Amino acid sequence: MHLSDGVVSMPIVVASSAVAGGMLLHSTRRIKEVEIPKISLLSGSFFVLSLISLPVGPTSIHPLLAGLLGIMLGGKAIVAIFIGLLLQATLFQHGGISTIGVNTLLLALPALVSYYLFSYLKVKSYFLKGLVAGMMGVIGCVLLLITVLYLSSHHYSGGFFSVIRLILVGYIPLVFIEGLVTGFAVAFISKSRPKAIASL
Amino acid sequence: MDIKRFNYNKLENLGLLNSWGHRWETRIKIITAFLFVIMVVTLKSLTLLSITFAITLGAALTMKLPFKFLLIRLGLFLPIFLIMAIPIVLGGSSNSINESLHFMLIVIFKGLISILVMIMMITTQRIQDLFIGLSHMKLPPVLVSIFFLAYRYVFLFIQDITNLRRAINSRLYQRKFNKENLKVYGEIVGGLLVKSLDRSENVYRAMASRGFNGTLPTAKPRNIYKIDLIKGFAVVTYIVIIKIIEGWF
Repeated sequence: MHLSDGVVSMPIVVASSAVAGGMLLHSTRRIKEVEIPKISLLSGSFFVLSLISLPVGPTSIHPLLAGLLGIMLGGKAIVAIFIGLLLQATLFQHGGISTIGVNTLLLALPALVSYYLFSYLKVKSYFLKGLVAGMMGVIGCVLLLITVLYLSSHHYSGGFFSVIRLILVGYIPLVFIEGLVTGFAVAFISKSRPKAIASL
Repeated sequence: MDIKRFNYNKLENLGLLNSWGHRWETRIKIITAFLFVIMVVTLKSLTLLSITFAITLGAALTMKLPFKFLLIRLGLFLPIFLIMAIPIVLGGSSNSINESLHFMLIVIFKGLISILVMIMMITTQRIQDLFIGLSHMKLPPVLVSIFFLAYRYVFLFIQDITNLRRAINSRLYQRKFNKENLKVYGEIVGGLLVKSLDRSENVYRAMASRGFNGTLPTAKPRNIYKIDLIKGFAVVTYIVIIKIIEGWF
Protein backbone atom coordinates (compact mmCIF):
# COMPACT_ATOMS: atom_id res chain seq x y z
CA MET A 1 0.00 0.00 0.00
CA HIS A 2 1.73 3.15 -1.08
CA LEU A 3 0.94 6.45 -2.69
CA SER A 4 2.74 7.71 -5.77
CA ASP A 5 4.08 11.23 -6.15
CA GLY A 6 1.36 13.72 -7.03
CA VAL A 7 -1.50 11.86 -5.34
CA VAL A 8 -1.12 13.66 -2.02
CA SER A 9 -1.04 17.43 -1.45
CA MET A 10 2.19 19.26 -0.50
CA PRO A 11 1.16 20.20 3.08
CA ILE A 12 0.51 16.51 3.81
CA VAL A 13 3.84 15.57 2.19
CA VAL A 14 5.75 18.10 4.30
CA ALA A 15 3.99 17.26 7.58
CA SER A 16 4.26 13.48 7.14
CA SER A 17 7.92 13.70 6.10
CA ALA A 18 8.71 15.69 9.24
CA VAL A 19 6.88 13.23 11.51
CA ALA A 20 8.31 10.14 9.78
CA GLY A 21 11.81 11.64 9.85
CA GLY A 22 11.54 12.38 13.56
CA MET A 23 10.22 8.92 14.41
CA LEU A 24 12.89 7.28 12.25
CA LEU A 25 15.69 9.25 13.89
CA HIS A 26 14.36 8.43 17.35
CA SER A 27 14.09 4.69 16.54
CA THR A 28 17.50 4.56 14.85
CA ARG A 29 19.22 6.02 17.90
CA ARG A 30 17.78 3.23 20.07
CA ILE A 31 19.10 0.42 17.84
CA LYS A 32 21.94 -1.52 19.44
CA GLU A 33 24.76 -2.96 17.33
CA VAL A 34 23.61 -6.54 17.99
CA GLU A 35 20.13 -5.73 16.64
CA ILE A 36 21.33 -4.50 13.23
CA PRO A 37 21.47 -7.94 11.52
CA LYS A 38 18.11 -8.92 13.09
CA ILE A 39 16.33 -5.77 11.84
CA SER A 40 18.06 -6.06 8.43
CA LEU A 41 17.07 -9.66 7.85
CA LEU A 42 13.55 -9.16 9.16
CA SER A 43 13.18 -6.11 6.87
CA GLY A 44 14.30 -8.19 3.91
CA SER A 45 12.05 -11.12 4.75
CA PHE A 46 9.00 -8.89 5.32
CA PHE A 47 9.69 -7.21 1.99
CA VAL A 48 9.82 -10.57 0.19
CA LEU A 49 6.74 -11.90 2.02
CA SER A 50 4.70 -8.85 1.06
CA LEU A 51 5.39 -9.66 -2.61
CA ILE A 52 3.53 -12.98 -2.33
CA SER A 53 -0.05 -12.79 -3.52
CA LEU A 54 -2.96 -14.64 -1.94
CA PRO A 55 -5.84 -15.79 -4.16
CA VAL A 56 -9.16 -14.14 -3.31
CA GLY A 57 -11.88 -15.19 -5.72
CA PRO A 58 -11.08 -14.01 -9.26
CA THR A 59 -8.20 -11.84 -8.12
CA SER A 60 -5.31 -11.89 -5.66
CA ILE A 61 -4.08 -9.53 -2.98
CA HIS A 62 -0.76 -8.74 -1.35
CA PRO A 63 -0.67 -8.72 2.45
CA LEU A 64 0.51 -5.58 4.26
CA LEU A 65 1.96 -7.42 7.30
CA ALA A 66 2.00 -4.16 9.30
CA GLY A 67 0.52 -5.89 12.35
CA LEU A 68 3.08 -8.70 12.27
CA LEU A 69 5.91 -6.19 11.82
CA GLY A 70 4.74 -4.33 14.90
CA ILE A 71 4.45 -7.53 16.96
CA MET A 72 7.98 -8.66 15.99
CA LEU A 73 9.85 -5.36 16.10
CA GLY A 74 7.80 -3.08 18.34
CA GLY A 75 8.91 0.54 18.14
CA LYS A 76 11.63 -0.30 15.61
CA ALA A 77 9.09 -1.44 12.98
CA ILE A 78 9.32 2.01 11.37
CA VAL A 79 12.95 1.29 10.44
CA ALA A 80 11.98 -2.00 8.75
CA ILE A 81 9.12 -0.29 6.91
CA PHE A 82 11.36 2.53 5.68
CA ILE A 83 13.98 0.01 4.53
CA GLY A 84 11.23 -1.97 2.77
CA LEU A 85 10.20 1.15 0.85
CA LEU A 86 13.83 1.81 -0.12
CA LEU A 87 14.14 -1.81 -1.31
CA GLN A 88 11.00 -1.38 -3.39
CA ALA A 89 12.49 1.77 -4.95
CA THR A 90 15.89 0.14 -5.58
CA LEU A 91 14.69 -3.19 -6.97
CA PHE A 92 11.50 -2.15 -8.77
CA GLN A 93 11.82 1.67 -9.07
CA HIS A 94 8.36 1.63 -7.50
CA GLY A 95 6.91 3.98 -4.88
CA GLY A 96 7.23 7.73 -4.44
CA ILE A 97 10.15 10.03 -3.69
CA SER A 98 8.20 12.89 -2.10
CA THR A 99 5.67 10.47 -0.57
CA ILE A 100 8.19 8.24 1.22
CA GLY A 101 7.26 9.94 4.51
CA VAL A 102 3.52 9.37 4.03
CA ASN A 103 4.04 5.79 2.90
CA THR A 104 6.24 5.10 5.93
CA LEU A 105 3.65 6.46 8.34
CA LEU A 106 0.78 4.60 6.62
CA LEU A 107 2.30 1.33 7.84
CA ALA A 108 4.41 2.44 10.83
CA LEU A 109 1.63 3.95 12.95
CA PRO A 110 -0.70 0.93 12.60
CA ALA A 111 2.30 -1.33 13.31
CA LEU A 112 2.88 0.57 16.56
CA VAL A 113 -0.80 0.31 17.50
CA SER A 114 -0.72 -3.45 16.76
CA TYR A 115 2.35 -3.81 18.99
CA TYR A 116 0.68 -2.12 21.96
CA LEU A 117 -2.59 -3.97 21.37
CA PHE A 118 -0.76 -7.30 21.29
CA SER A 119 1.20 -6.41 24.44
CA TYR A 120 -1.75 -5.33 26.53
CA LEU A 121 -4.52 -7.62 25.28
CA LYS A 122 -5.45 -9.89 28.19
CA VAL A 123 -6.06 -13.06 26.17
CA LYS A 124 -4.14 -16.30 26.65
CA SER A 125 -4.29 -17.50 23.04
CA TYR A 126 -1.45 -16.10 20.88
CA PHE A 127 -3.50 -16.89 17.79
CA LEU A 128 -6.34 -14.64 19.00
CA LYS A 129 -3.95 -11.86 20.02
CA GLY A 130 -2.26 -12.07 16.61
CA LEU A 131 -5.64 -12.12 14.85
CA VAL A 132 -6.80 -8.93 16.57
CA ALA A 133 -3.43 -7.18 16.10
CA GLY A 134 -3.30 -8.19 12.42
CA MET A 135 -6.82 -6.95 11.78
CA MET A 136 -6.09 -3.67 13.58
CA GLY A 137 -2.97 -3.25 11.46
CA VAL A 138 -5.01 -3.25 8.25
CA ILE A 139 -7.84 -1.16 9.73
CA GLY A 140 -5.29 1.42 10.90
CA CYS A 141 -3.65 1.55 7.47
CA VAL A 142 -6.97 2.01 5.70
CA LEU A 143 -8.15 4.72 8.12
CA LEU A 144 -4.89 6.63 7.70
CA LEU A 145 -5.01 6.24 3.92
CA ILE A 146 -8.54 7.60 3.59
CA THR A 147 -7.71 10.46 5.98
CA VAL A 148 -4.68 11.43 3.88
CA LEU A 149 -6.69 11.25 0.65
CA TYR A 150 -9.62 13.16 2.16
CA LEU A 151 -7.34 15.96 3.36
CA SER A 152 -5.46 16.08 0.01
CA SER A 153 -8.33 16.69 -2.40
CA HIS A 154 -12.12 16.67 -2.58
CA HIS A 155 -11.83 14.63 -5.80
CA TYR A 156 -11.09 11.51 -3.74
CA SER A 157 -14.23 11.79 -1.62
CA GLY A 158 -16.78 13.13 -4.11
CA GLY A 159 -19.58 10.92 -5.39
CA PHE A 160 -21.22 7.67 -4.35
CA PHE A 161 -18.50 5.55 -5.96
CA SER A 162 -15.67 7.74 -4.67
CA VAL A 163 -12.08 6.49 -4.29
CA ILE A 164 -12.41 6.57 -0.49
CA ARG A 165 -15.61 4.49 -0.46
CA LEU A 166 -14.11 1.95 -2.87
CA ILE A 167 -10.98 1.67 -0.70
CA LEU A 168 -13.13 1.08 2.39
CA VAL A 169 -15.08 -1.69 0.68
CA GLY A 170 -12.11 -3.15 -1.18
CA TYR A 171 -9.98 -3.68 1.91
CA ILE A 172 -12.64 -5.52 3.94
CA PRO A 173 -11.45 -8.99 2.79
CA LEU A 174 -7.85 -8.07 3.61
CA VAL A 175 -8.79 -7.20 7.22
CA PHE A 176 -9.93 -10.78 7.86
CA ILE A 177 -7.29 -12.48 5.72
CA GLU A 178 -4.43 -10.60 7.33
CA GLY A 179 -5.88 -11.14 10.79
CA LEU A 180 -5.95 -14.90 10.21
CA VAL A 181 -2.48 -15.00 8.63
CA THR A 182 -1.00 -12.93 11.48
CA GLY A 183 -2.72 -15.13 14.04
CA PHE A 184 -1.36 -18.34 12.52
CA ALA A 185 2.11 -16.84 12.08
CA VAL A 186 2.27 -15.59 15.69
CA ALA A 187 0.98 -18.92 17.03
CA PHE A 188 3.75 -20.69 15.10
CA ILE A 189 6.49 -18.27 16.22
CA SER A 190 5.36 -18.34 19.86
CA LYS A 191 5.80 -22.14 19.87
CA SER A 192 9.18 -22.23 18.11
CA ARG A 193 10.84 -18.93 19.15
CA PRO A 194 8.83 -17.14 21.85
CA LYS A 195 11.62 -14.60 22.50
CA ALA A 196 11.31 -13.39 18.89
CA ILE A 197 8.10 -11.58 19.71
CA ALA A 198 8.92 -8.07 20.91
CA SER A 199 6.13 -7.84 23.43
CA LEU A 200 6.94 -11.13 25.20
CA MET B 1 4.92 -6.42 -8.24
CA ASP B 2 5.43 -10.19 -8.22
CA ILE B 3 8.69 -11.92 -7.34
CA LYS B 4 8.60 -13.75 -10.67
CA ARG B 5 8.88 -10.46 -12.61
CA PHE B 6 12.08 -9.37 -10.93
CA ASN B 7 15.20 -9.57 -13.07
CA TYR B 8 18.29 -8.61 -11.09
CA ASN B 9 20.77 -9.16 -13.94
CA LYS B 10 19.01 -6.63 -16.15
CA LEU B 11 19.32 -4.03 -13.40
CA GLU B 12 23.05 -4.69 -13.02
CA ASN B 13 23.62 -4.58 -16.80
CA LEU B 14 21.88 -1.21 -17.09
CA GLY B 15 24.25 0.19 -14.49
CA LEU B 16 27.27 -0.71 -16.62
CA LEU B 17 26.30 1.42 -19.64
CA ASN B 18 28.13 4.65 -20.44
CA SER B 19 26.21 7.91 -20.76
CA TRP B 20 26.12 11.36 -19.20
CA GLY B 21 23.77 9.95 -16.59
CA HIS B 22 26.11 7.06 -15.75
CA ARG B 23 29.04 9.45 -15.42
CA TRP B 24 27.04 11.73 -13.09
CA GLU B 25 28.20 11.45 -9.48
CA THR B 26 25.65 9.46 -7.41
CA ARG B 27 25.18 11.88 -4.52
CA ILE B 28 24.55 14.91 -6.74
CA LYS B 29 22.22 12.78 -8.88
CA ILE B 30 20.15 11.71 -5.85
CA ILE B 31 19.87 15.26 -4.47
CA THR B 32 18.96 16.65 -7.92
CA ALA B 33 16.33 13.91 -8.45
CA PHE B 34 14.81 14.66 -5.06
CA LEU B 35 14.62 18.42 -5.69
CA PHE B 36 13.27 17.86 -9.22
CA VAL B 37 10.44 15.58 -8.04
CA ILE B 38 9.49 17.93 -5.17
CA MET B 39 9.19 20.84 -7.64
CA VAL B 40 7.27 18.70 -10.18
CA VAL B 41 4.77 17.67 -7.51
CA THR B 42 3.94 21.36 -6.89
CA LEU B 43 3.10 22.00 -10.57
CA LYS B 44 -0.58 22.50 -11.43
CA SER B 45 -0.40 23.12 -15.20
CA LEU B 46 -1.22 20.11 -17.36
CA THR B 47 0.61 21.60 -20.37
CA LEU B 48 3.84 22.16 -18.44
CA LEU B 49 3.60 18.71 -16.85
CA SER B 50 3.20 17.03 -20.23
CA ILE B 51 6.18 19.00 -21.59
CA THR B 52 8.23 18.01 -18.52
CA PHE B 53 7.23 14.37 -18.99
CA ALA B 54 8.37 14.45 -22.63
CA ILE B 55 11.69 16.09 -21.68
CA THR B 56 12.24 13.62 -18.80
CA LEU B 57 11.55 10.70 -21.16
CA GLY B 58 13.98 12.21 -23.66
CA ALA B 59 16.62 12.55 -20.94
CA ALA B 60 16.11 8.90 -19.97
CA LEU B 61 16.60 7.84 -23.59
CA THR B 62 19.79 9.91 -23.88
CA MET B 63 21.05 7.96 -20.85
CA LYS B 64 20.85 4.88 -23.12
CA LEU B 65 18.05 3.32 -21.09
CA PRO B 66 16.17 1.01 -23.51
CA PHE B 67 12.81 2.42 -24.68
CA LYS B 68 11.14 -0.98 -24.25
CA PHE B 69 12.38 -1.19 -20.64
CA LEU B 70 11.01 2.29 -19.87
CA LEU B 71 7.71 1.52 -21.57
CA ILE B 72 7.26 -1.70 -19.60
CA ARG B 73 8.11 0.00 -16.30
CA LEU B 74 5.72 2.88 -16.97
CA GLY B 75 3.10 0.53 -18.35
CA LEU B 76 3.10 -1.49 -15.11
CA PHE B 77 1.78 1.49 -13.16
CA LEU B 78 -0.67 2.91 -15.65
CA PRO B 79 -3.41 0.41 -14.67
CA ILE B 80 -3.12 1.58 -11.04
CA PHE B 81 -3.59 5.20 -12.06
CA LEU B 82 -6.45 4.26 -14.38
CA ILE B 83 -8.19 2.30 -11.60
CA MET B 84 -8.03 5.48 -9.50
CA ALA B 85 -9.23 7.58 -12.45
CA ILE B 86 -12.50 5.68 -12.97
CA PRO B 87 -14.13 6.52 -9.61
CA ILE B 88 -12.82 10.10 -9.76
CA VAL B 89 -14.19 10.76 -13.27
CA LEU B 90 -17.29 8.55 -13.22
CA GLY B 91 -17.95 8.13 -9.49
CA GLY B 92 -20.91 10.51 -9.39
CA SER B 93 -19.21 13.49 -7.77
CA SER B 94 -20.50 17.05 -8.18
CA ASN B 95 -17.37 18.06 -10.13
CA SER B 96 -17.69 18.22 -13.91
CA ILE B 97 -16.14 15.39 -15.91
CA ASN B 98 -13.66 17.83 -17.48
CA GLU B 99 -12.49 19.04 -14.08
CA SER B 100 -12.11 15.46 -12.77
CA LEU B 101 -10.30 14.38 -15.94
CA HIS B 102 -7.96 17.37 -15.68
CA PHE B 103 -7.17 16.51 -12.04
CA MET B 104 -6.53 12.85 -12.89
CA LEU B 105 -4.25 13.67 -15.83
CA ILE B 106 -2.19 15.94 -13.56
CA VAL B 107 -1.84 13.10 -11.01
CA ILE B 108 -0.93 10.60 -13.75
CA PHE B 109 1.75 12.84 -15.29
CA LYS B 110 3.29 13.60 -11.89
CA GLY B 111 3.36 9.88 -11.08
CA LEU B 112 4.92 8.94 -14.41
CA ILE B 113 7.58 11.69 -14.19
CA SER B 114 8.45 10.49 -10.68
CA ILE B 115 8.79 6.88 -11.90
CA LEU B 116 11.07 7.98 -14.76
CA VAL B 117 13.24 9.99 -12.35
CA MET B 118 13.49 6.99 -10.00
CA ILE B 119 14.48 4.74 -12.89
CA MET B 120 17.19 7.19 -13.95
CA MET B 121 18.40 7.65 -10.39
CA ILE B 122 18.63 3.93 -9.58
CA THR B 123 19.63 2.25 -12.85
CA THR B 124 22.40 4.57 -14.03
CA GLN B 125 25.05 3.15 -11.74
CA ARG B 126 25.90 -0.17 -10.12
CA ILE B 127 23.98 -0.94 -6.94
CA GLN B 128 27.26 -0.94 -4.99
CA ASP B 129 27.96 2.62 -6.15
CA LEU B 130 24.46 3.62 -5.03
CA PHE B 131 25.16 2.27 -1.53
CA ILE B 132 28.57 3.95 -1.41
CA GLY B 133 26.94 7.25 -2.40
CA LEU B 134 24.18 6.87 0.21
CA SER B 135 26.67 6.00 2.95
CA HIS B 136 28.47 9.32 2.34
CA MET B 137 25.33 11.45 2.44
CA LYS B 138 25.22 12.10 6.19
CA LEU B 139 22.45 9.55 6.73
CA PRO B 140 22.55 7.67 10.06
CA PRO B 141 25.19 4.93 9.54
CA VAL B 142 22.90 2.37 11.24
CA LEU B 143 20.25 2.98 8.59
CA VAL B 144 22.70 2.52 5.72
CA SER B 145 24.07 -0.68 7.31
CA ILE B 146 20.55 -2.09 7.72
CA PHE B 147 19.64 -1.16 4.14
CA PHE B 148 22.79 -2.74 2.74
CA LEU B 149 22.35 -5.98 4.69
CA ALA B 150 18.61 -6.18 3.89
CA TYR B 151 19.39 -5.74 0.19
CA ARG B 152 22.02 -8.49 0.29
CA TYR B 153 19.68 -10.98 1.95
CA VAL B 154 16.56 -10.26 -0.14
CA PHE B 155 17.86 -12.61 -2.85
CA LEU B 156 18.37 -15.39 -0.32
CA PHE B 157 14.79 -14.97 0.88
CA ILE B 158 13.49 -14.97 -2.69
CA GLN B 159 15.30 -18.31 -3.14
CA ASP B 160 13.77 -19.59 0.13
CA ILE B 161 10.28 -18.65 -1.04
CA THR B 162 10.90 -20.32 -4.42
CA ASN B 163 12.00 -23.52 -2.66
CA LEU B 164 8.99 -23.36 -0.34
CA ARG B 165 6.66 -22.95 -3.33
CA ARG B 166 8.21 -25.98 -4.99
CA ALA B 167 7.85 -27.97 -1.77
CA ILE B 168 4.18 -27.16 -1.24
CA ASN B 169 3.33 -27.64 -4.93
CA SER B 170 4.92 -31.08 -4.82
CA ARG B 171 2.53 -31.82 -1.96
CA LEU B 172 -0.43 -31.02 -4.23
CA TYR B 173 -1.12 -27.67 -2.60
CA GLN B 174 -3.96 -25.87 -4.37
CA ARG B 175 -4.21 -22.10 -4.39
CA LYS B 176 -7.68 -21.73 -2.93
CA PHE B 177 -9.14 -19.22 -0.57
CA ASN B 178 -9.92 -21.24 2.57
CA LYS B 179 -8.89 -21.41 6.24
CA GLU B 180 -6.50 -24.33 5.70
CA ASN B 181 -4.55 -22.48 3.03
CA LEU B 182 -4.39 -19.35 5.16
CA LYS B 183 -2.98 -21.50 7.97
CA VAL B 184 -0.35 -22.86 5.57
CA TYR B 185 0.52 -19.36 4.46
CA GLY B 186 0.65 -18.07 8.07
CA GLU B 187 3.01 -20.88 9.06
CA ILE B 188 5.17 -20.23 5.98
CA VAL B 189 5.42 -16.58 7.07
CA GLY B 190 6.23 -17.64 10.63
CA GLY B 191 8.78 -20.20 9.42
CA LEU B 192 10.58 -17.72 7.19
CA LEU B 193 10.73 -15.16 9.99
CA VAL B 194 12.14 -17.75 12.43
CA LYS B 195 14.72 -18.75 9.80
CA SER B 196 15.63 -15.06 9.35
CA LEU B 197 16.13 -14.66 13.09
CA ASP B 198 18.38 -17.72 13.31
CA ARG B 199 20.33 -16.49 10.30
CA SER B 200 20.69 -13.02 11.79
CA GLU B 201 22.33 -14.48 14.92
CA ASN B 202 24.91 -16.28 12.76
CA VAL B 203 25.40 -13.15 10.64
CA TYR B 204 26.02 -11.02 13.73
CA ARG B 205 28.54 -13.53 15.14
CA ALA B 206 30.37 -13.59 11.79
CA MET B 207 30.38 -9.79 11.53
CA ALA B 208 31.40 -9.21 15.17
CA SER B 209 34.31 -11.64 14.79
CA ARG B 210 35.46 -9.50 11.86
CA GLY B 211 35.35 -6.26 13.86
CA PHE B 212 31.83 -5.01 13.10
CA ASN B 213 31.08 -2.00 15.30
CA GLY B 214 27.65 -0.91 14.03
CA THR B 215 28.85 0.75 10.83
CA LEU B 216 29.62 -1.14 7.63
CA PRO B 217 32.83 0.17 6.08
CA THR B 218 32.37 1.33 2.49
CA ALA B 219 34.71 2.44 -0.24
CA LYS B 220 35.40 6.10 -0.93
CA PRO B 221 32.84 7.59 -3.31
CA ARG B 222 33.75 9.08 -6.66
CA ASN B 223 34.97 12.67 -6.51
CA ILE B 224 32.46 15.38 -7.32
CA TYR B 225 33.60 17.36 -10.34
CA LYS B 226 32.41 20.65 -11.79
CA ILE B 227 30.52 18.83 -14.56
CA ASP B 228 28.42 16.94 -11.96
CA LEU B 229 27.43 20.22 -10.33
CA ILE B 230 26.67 21.76 -13.74
CA LYS B 231 24.34 18.85 -14.60
CA GLY B 232 22.54 19.23 -11.28
CA PHE B 233 22.30 22.99 -11.65
CA ALA B 234 20.92 22.64 -15.20
CA VAL B 235 18.15 20.26 -14.10
CA VAL B 236 17.16 22.39 -11.12
CA THR B 237 17.26 25.57 -13.26
CA TYR B 238 14.95 23.93 -15.80
CA ILE B 239 12.31 23.08 -13.21
CA VAL B 240 12.60 26.51 -11.54
CA ILE B 241 12.00 28.16 -14.95
CA ILE B 242 8.95 25.91 -15.46
CA LYS B 243 7.66 26.98 -12.05
CA ILE B 244 8.19 30.67 -12.91
CA ILE B 245 6.40 30.23 -16.26
CA GLU B 246 3.49 28.59 -14.43
CA GLY B 247 3.38 31.55 -12.04
CA TRP B 248 3.24 34.04 -14.96
CA PHE B 249 0.33 32.30 -16.67
